[in-house]
Amino acid sequence: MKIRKGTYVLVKTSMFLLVLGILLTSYELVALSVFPILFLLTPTFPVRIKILGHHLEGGGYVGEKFKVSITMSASGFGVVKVMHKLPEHFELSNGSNAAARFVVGSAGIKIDYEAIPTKRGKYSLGKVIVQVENPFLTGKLFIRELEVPLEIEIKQRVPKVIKIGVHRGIARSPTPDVDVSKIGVPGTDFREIREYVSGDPVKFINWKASARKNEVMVNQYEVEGKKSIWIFLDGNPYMKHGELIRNYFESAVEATNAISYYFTQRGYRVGLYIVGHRKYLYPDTGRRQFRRIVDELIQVEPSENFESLEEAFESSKALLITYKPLIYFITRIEYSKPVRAVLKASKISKKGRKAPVEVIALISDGKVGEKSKEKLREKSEENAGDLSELALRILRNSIESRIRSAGVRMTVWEIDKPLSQILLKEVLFA
Amino acid sequence: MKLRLRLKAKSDLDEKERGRGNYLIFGPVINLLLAEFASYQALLALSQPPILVLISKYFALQLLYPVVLSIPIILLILRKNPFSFGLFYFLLLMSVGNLLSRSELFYASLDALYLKSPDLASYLNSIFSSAKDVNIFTLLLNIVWLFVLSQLIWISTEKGREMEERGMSSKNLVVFQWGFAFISTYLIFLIYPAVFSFNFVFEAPLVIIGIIGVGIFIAATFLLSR
Repeated sequence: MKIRKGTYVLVKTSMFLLVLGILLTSYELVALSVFPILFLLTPTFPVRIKILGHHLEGGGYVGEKFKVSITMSASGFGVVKVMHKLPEHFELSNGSNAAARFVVGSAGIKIDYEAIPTKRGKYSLGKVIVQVENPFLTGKLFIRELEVPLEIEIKQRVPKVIKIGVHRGIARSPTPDVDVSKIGVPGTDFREIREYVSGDPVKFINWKASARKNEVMVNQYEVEGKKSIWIFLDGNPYMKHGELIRNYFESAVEATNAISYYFTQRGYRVGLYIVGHRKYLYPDTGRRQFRRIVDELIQVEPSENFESLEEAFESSKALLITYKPLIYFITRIEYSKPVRAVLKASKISKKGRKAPVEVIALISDGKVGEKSKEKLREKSEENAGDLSELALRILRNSIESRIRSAGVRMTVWEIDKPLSQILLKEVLFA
Repeated sequence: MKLRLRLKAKSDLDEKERGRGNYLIFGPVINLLLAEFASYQALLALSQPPILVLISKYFALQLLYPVVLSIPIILLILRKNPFSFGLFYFLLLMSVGNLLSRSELFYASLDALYLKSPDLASYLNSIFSSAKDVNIFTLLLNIVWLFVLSQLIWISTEKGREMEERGMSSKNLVVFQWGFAFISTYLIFLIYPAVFSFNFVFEAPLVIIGIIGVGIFIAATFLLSR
């Protein structure tokens, strides 16, 4: 039990007078020792708090201000403190999310503030903590929570990507924007005649060819739709490294958002696999698919369990063989060592041609994780942090050269720079 | 437009700062005044017969006035509570000299002193025993009341500053707390002498009272140690 300062002061004064009174056998001092104690008898009266109204305005994106106002009424007697509980990733920009009032009878309390969310996610703003104490700030402290039906969904702003590099894998067309997919709705462009398979529409039967070969043959047409995109988002524990707001995982999520937005807008099917969580979204196209991806990305956090990119590839191999997509690996290559996974992915095409694969390697210029490095430096010997950094850089360069030598494209993204700039640079080089 | 917004923001900030500054300035000033009053009361208690007779033999009591009254000012300059516990102890110890005339412990000490120096013991006895009717209860009550009030004001000021630093809006909270503290302590201060003027006669033997006293002392030590 912690004695409050007011209580401590009054008890101390009273005890001093009492002890002095006993020592001097003085009735006056003993009588005076009761005086401070009388204030401790003041009880904490119950105060009723009622939420009259609440309002949430704006927000929705990381870094975008939103405004909250909550109106309450309090009736009773005492000092009332109310606080609207904010998640740790929110910064107050204006006003205050806490208020204190001296309530005699009834009083209105208003919380009015503006805050900036610094991290994506679905947050509940539904708790108002109420603390009631007596006016002398002594005695028992009553703490309780009130519920407010307030929720906010914070999305990461999708960076504007003007152009993403060209990849020609099993594409039939030289321009990837009209690259046709392996599966989809048949169009009008004739591809070949083949044997009838159960489920083929009767209207595609080529009667003349069937008569000639004495077995049922059907016309095969080019399917409509564009190539699929498959993104492996690395969500392993090592992606957590960096500051709470800006770390490798947040950057990887930003890249996933940007790429999926770019391709879904252009009619591609986009699928996603979150490595570490063993979660995937089937490839699909359109705004609805982008919304699904965003919804998934809002909630995802780096996993506590490790899953290698190779395991992730094996888990989604069946889908990759079906769709033959352009595969993106977004990872920290010095930790995930994706060479084997990348090589396997580039060999999913049967005809011996390389499937298009791209690795987006996240690196930092040293600013990210500076705080954690400082802590590391404090704990370990001098220069230990520098040496480990050097070792990681050497490892990264070696993996990078192995991936490049395997003919796989790699984009190195310094996460402090804008992603669109990096992707555009790749286009220009291509 | 930008400039106007900036000016508005600045004026809002100034207003806030001004609001904050008010009670942070008035709190210590009120405490200083309370400490000065209490010091004056202690000096008045010191000016009562037995101690007055004893002190005035060596130096003029008026010389003590500026020294005692300047202590709260020095504490304020040193950015400390002008009415601290230390000052309260000092003022009380200064005043309780007059209570010695009715203290059994004091006369027991005089008896002990009598064996060593009978003249001094007889002299002190003559001074103190003649002042048994001097009552300084009201003066002591004044000091205790002022001290309790100053502590309540100081605690609420500190709490208010803490809340402001955390960004909590506390509209006139501290001022209301001061008002409430003043009214409630003043009411008790008014009633107190009436309540304690009743003469309670305990029929219990002194041993029992002693045991109760020791029990209270142990309980107080236990409470203060936690």
